[in-house]
Amino acid sequence: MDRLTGKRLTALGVVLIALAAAAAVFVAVSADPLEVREAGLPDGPSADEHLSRARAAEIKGDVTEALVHYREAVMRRPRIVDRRSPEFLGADFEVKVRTWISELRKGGISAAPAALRDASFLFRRMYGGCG
Amino acid sequence: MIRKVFAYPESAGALAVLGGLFGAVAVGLTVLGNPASSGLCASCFLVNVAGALHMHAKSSQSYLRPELLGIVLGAFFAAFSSREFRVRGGSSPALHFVGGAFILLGCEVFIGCPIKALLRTAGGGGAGAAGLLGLAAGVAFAAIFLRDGFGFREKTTIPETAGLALPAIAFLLLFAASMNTDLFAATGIGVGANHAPFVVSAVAGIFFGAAGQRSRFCVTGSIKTAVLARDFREGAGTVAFLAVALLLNVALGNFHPTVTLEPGAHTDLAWAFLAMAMVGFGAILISGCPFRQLVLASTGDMDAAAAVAGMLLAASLSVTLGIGSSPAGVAPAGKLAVLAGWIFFLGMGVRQRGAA
Repeated sequence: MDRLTGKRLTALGVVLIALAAAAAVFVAVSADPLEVREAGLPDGPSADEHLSRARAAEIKGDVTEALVHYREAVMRRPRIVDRRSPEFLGADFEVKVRTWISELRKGGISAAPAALRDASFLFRRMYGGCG
Repeated sequence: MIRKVFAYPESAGALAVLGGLFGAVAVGLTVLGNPASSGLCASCFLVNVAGALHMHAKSSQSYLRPELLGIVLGAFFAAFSSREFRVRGGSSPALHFVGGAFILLGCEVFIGCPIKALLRTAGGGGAGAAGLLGLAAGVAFAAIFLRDGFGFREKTTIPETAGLALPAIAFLLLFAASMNTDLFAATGIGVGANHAPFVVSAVAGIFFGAAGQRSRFCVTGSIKTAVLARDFREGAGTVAFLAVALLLNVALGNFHPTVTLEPGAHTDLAWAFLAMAMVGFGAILISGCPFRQLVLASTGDMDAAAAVAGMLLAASLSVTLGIGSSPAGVAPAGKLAVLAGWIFFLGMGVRQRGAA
């Protein structure tokens, strides 16, 4: 580290700037940079519609499909997993999410790998901080 | 003894006691209603305050955080009573403004400031720990630039009234908030706006500000001093913060080692590392993390005030442009903000060597 001074440090700085710029170009061309992940998703079904589809999938026993729709509903209306909100889906839902995670980890439920990811998202959201 | 710890904390023991108290109060605020791992998070609080001041429209992240206003007032009174309130500035305020903005954006991509990185790690969060490692790496990298002569023009003394503006605004906002006026954006029911009781938060904020001013508590600063000067006294405060928060979380049953189930976090460890590395690097170059900038601004440092103004603007942009991360992941705009921050700070680091 002691050798990293003067022109060597300048050269390293310039190389890192070039790398960061190249990475920025890659990110910009590979995704919509202004994509908003959770708020203002105007297209597609509403949160209520997704909740209905989630419940219907649950009745059919399709946990993967149910979790996809719960996730979409939460993206559109995060308050449904806020335990202090009147819109909260309820303590039963809380227990259900925990059970799904536990069962998916043990392999007790047959579901696609994405199901555990979606259930984990619901958990992080439900107990989450300010993100 | 009390005077040694609270008025002139210099020894590792005194700084560790204050750091431990910081950690205990921060965890206490979470128990009383603040969001998970957010007993003290300068960047999250700035986003909340920006929302309350109608600078963004996301009600779930809008709340005029009494902690933040308390930090300003506590630091101001501590500096004033110890005759350390001195208004100074003129050391590249524009660079501090833009630098402050990028630091805040980096924090929002990670989801939390360096202090929250400690709290998230103390809760068992894998992404929190990745961010903390990134922060330390960024600080160590910045130390190379400091060793090679990085600096700004020396600050000059400026008229005292300028330094009173921020404490005065904080006092007025805190007073107005205590009156329950409808001046501020309605506090939405939302995880980001969850909070401890108003008076408790305000008192805790005043403690954070006063103790922060006396102890110079700064996560990034303590790592820098350890790396550059092999002086571990400030580090004792940071380690004590982490240790007390960890012990309390274990005692309260809130310690859950996990990557995928960390409350309110995303699971992208690489971007958590990279974002906090940028925060650590930039914070050293502009002399402080978001909490430290708030404390410095309250004691009359107008360059830090410029950084705070930049952070407030960035807090608004973070929500409006979808830069901030969420449990769903890191947004492309957030990745671009981190890379742009790296380019800005690297350029500044290369350009400002020998400028002091």
